[in-house]
Amino acid sequence: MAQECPKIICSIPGPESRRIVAMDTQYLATGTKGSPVAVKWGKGVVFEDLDGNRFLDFTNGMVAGIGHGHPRVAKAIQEQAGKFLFFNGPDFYYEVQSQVAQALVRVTPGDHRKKVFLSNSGAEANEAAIKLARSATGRKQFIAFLGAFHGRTIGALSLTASKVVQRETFFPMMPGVTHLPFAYCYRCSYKQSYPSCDLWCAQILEDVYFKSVLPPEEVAALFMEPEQGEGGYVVPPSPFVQKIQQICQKYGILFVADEVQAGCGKTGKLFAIEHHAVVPDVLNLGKAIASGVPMGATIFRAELDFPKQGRHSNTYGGNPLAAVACLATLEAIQEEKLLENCQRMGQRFADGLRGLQQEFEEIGDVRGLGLMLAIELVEDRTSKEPARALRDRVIDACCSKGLLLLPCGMSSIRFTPAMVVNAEQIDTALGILRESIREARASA
Amino acid sequence: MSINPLEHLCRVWTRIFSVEAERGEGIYLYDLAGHRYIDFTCGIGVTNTGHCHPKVVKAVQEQAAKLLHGQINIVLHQPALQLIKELIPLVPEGLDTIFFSNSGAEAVEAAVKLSKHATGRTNVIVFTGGFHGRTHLTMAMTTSKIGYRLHYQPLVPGIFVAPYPYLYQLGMEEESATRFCIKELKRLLKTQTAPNETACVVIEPELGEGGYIVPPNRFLLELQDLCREHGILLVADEVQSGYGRTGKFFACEHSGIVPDILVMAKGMASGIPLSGIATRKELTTRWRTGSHGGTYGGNAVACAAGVATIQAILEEHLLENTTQRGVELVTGLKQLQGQYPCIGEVRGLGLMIGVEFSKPDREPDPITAKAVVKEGPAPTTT
Ligand SMILES: Cc1ncc(COP(=O)(O)O)c(C=O)c1O
Ligand SMILES: Cc1ncc(COP(=O)(O)O)c(C=O)c1O
Repeated sequence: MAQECPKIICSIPGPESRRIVAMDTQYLATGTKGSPVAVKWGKGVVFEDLDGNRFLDFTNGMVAGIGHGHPRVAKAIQEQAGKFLFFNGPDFYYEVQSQVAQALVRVTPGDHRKKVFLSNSGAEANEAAIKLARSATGRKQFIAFLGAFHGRTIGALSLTASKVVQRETFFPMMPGVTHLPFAYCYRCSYKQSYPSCDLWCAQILEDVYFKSVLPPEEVAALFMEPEQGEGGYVVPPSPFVQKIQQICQKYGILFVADEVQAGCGKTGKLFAIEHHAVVPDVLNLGKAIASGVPMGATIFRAELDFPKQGRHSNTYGGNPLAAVACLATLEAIQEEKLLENCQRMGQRFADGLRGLQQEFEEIGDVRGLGLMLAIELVEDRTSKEPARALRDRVIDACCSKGLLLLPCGMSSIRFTPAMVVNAEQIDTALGILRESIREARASA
Repeated sequence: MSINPLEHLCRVWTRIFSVEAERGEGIYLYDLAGHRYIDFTCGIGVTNTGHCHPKVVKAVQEQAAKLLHGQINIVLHQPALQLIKELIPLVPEGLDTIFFSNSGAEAVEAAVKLSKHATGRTNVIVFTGGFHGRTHLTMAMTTSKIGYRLHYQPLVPGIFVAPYPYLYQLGMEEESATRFCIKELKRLLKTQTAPNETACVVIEPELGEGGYIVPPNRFLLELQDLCREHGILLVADEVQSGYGRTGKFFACEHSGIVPDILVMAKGMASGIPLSGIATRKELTTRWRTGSHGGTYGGNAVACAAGVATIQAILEEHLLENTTQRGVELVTGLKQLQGQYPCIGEVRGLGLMIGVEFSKPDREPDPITAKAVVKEGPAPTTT
């Protein structure tokens, strides 16, 4: 990565990017777009926009987990495209489809027999888990957490509780979902502090919910992100996750780990749930699993499998491009020792962020695992009033200096550079962030 | 400030007539000016023993002086026990367990809740044109008019609708209608709600609000067979057709079906709110104690009126009278049908009789029907 980065040659967006933004606004449905950045090419954690500005991308590691344009993935896709692009995977057989399932079974936690349902997105992976759980348990109810994001199809959306805008006007939801406050210790819903709380946020499930509103024998599954993503990169204490899993086990409730955002290495372990030493019954993957080719996967205990052909299926699940991209991604992570790099760089970055926290009163919290990190901005550390406007100004200022970032939670900024990021890039990003916070607080 | 109560009366009730009834006696109602009206509505099939039957009135008065309310979770009382004693011989053979509530809708709710616990299944099948009440569950089960559910969606999920054998509008004979409706029901079980997810089928043995439609006996018997084959409970909603209205104590007796759960209300206490279900003890052993109930169910005064109502029906041979008067009424209506082609069909059992106004192609003719109703009520000479 000898190229100079960031390199800003005009104010952002430049004329070419503006043209694309205008066209996008005219033709694309209103979505979630924020910064006016239009990409020309990407390599590792660097990309160049259409006007020749060069950026550090600290967002796309969510999906391009091993970096933009990874040669192994590019090559695998090109070769596969030359053989066959599609061959009705749900109805017939081909090797890479079976191979990818085998690979996922091997790398996911637990030595038990497992099977895989392949789909095209995180939402679909969660939908499959919902259906699998109902089919396998004969139960109808679900538990999920406040702050959770599990996708935007109606089933997955019914589990989602991170922002009201994601649900408003879309009711009725799928019935049968009960949401519990998450172990978001920085803003504890019960106004307690860890560990003196004795994990009340887990125990309440058994002591209150199961006795007053939710008969446990009717609950099919509980969905949890081992590190909450959209909700603010919130890492629950491991004893919380363990206790919740014990309660699930006691009542025959399936524990589903939604690793769509946290999985595939970016927390420094291949799966975030490994940090908590919990083996889930079902594990869902998406985003980075095929380095950007749409893919979702639901990996589950073999005995939960659908008892009949035809009960669930789809068109593109396990399609050859996604399958080879996924296999190449897993290979790259292993052979290029990306987990180790992720741990080291994550440590460096987290240390840097803590340094900034010393300097800036507004950084209320620094948290995250590996390279899935966040800072939460607050008006002051006592009231913890979310500093949304400040957060948005910081992101804009970073963008204008060539560091691309995304918000999450109420007033947090998430950092997800690809796992190939190096020390120099981390330090550059920290420098830009520091300068941008200064600027943003001054312009209040 | 003087309050005009009419201005404060909630408009959600339709008010069909402007008569203000002061008292009732037998089939007559009297207004404030003493005009007498013949009441062929019975307050929607409630005052089956006639307005203010002296036995019922006396029972109410006596009970009111002893105990108005003895909550059934807390104490037992004679009126409830006595009513059970009177009811058991009257419900179809094999039904031996009674639960009380206050309204028809509540009793239907009880039947569905019991079905869910007893079968461990979640879904319910109902029929087109059915009316089962106005609570959220029963609204979802009701398909007789759009107005009952308009702007109340979403309703309770898991309700599936099969066609009722409405011969006149289907343009079919008993045999073909039976075949068609059973086939459609089987299709429903194959395409929308699997038998092992279907807790119960709820049917009115004579459709009430939906148009006083009598299904072929064959249809009900085949429906019963189909339910038994799949372990689906058969629920008869006799809220409107029960308590003698059709000339038998329960309309089920006409076809001989024995439902797993029979729902009753309306006529039970001659006008005091009382409803209930009759079922088999074996099913209720799976209805977890405490998982259903209510404050007023089995109210002492209502049950005393209920006992007197049954005694009046039996002692005064009201079932026989219902059958005989029903035949006369149908004969008269059929004569009118001969004179007025706008009367498309005359139908019904006992004194649960409907006249369908229709155009020559059998399209419903609500305008004529409404005009006929609006003509009345004319006071009769006292
Ligand atoms: C944890 C989690 N689950 C599910 C999803 C939904 O994935 P998709 O957008 O691919 O449907 C996301 C996406 O942000 C996610 O972060
Ligand atoms: C067949 C049937 N079921 C249920 C009901 C509901 O009864 P209620 O109005 O007492 O709730 C009615 C009332 O018309 C009915 O006719």
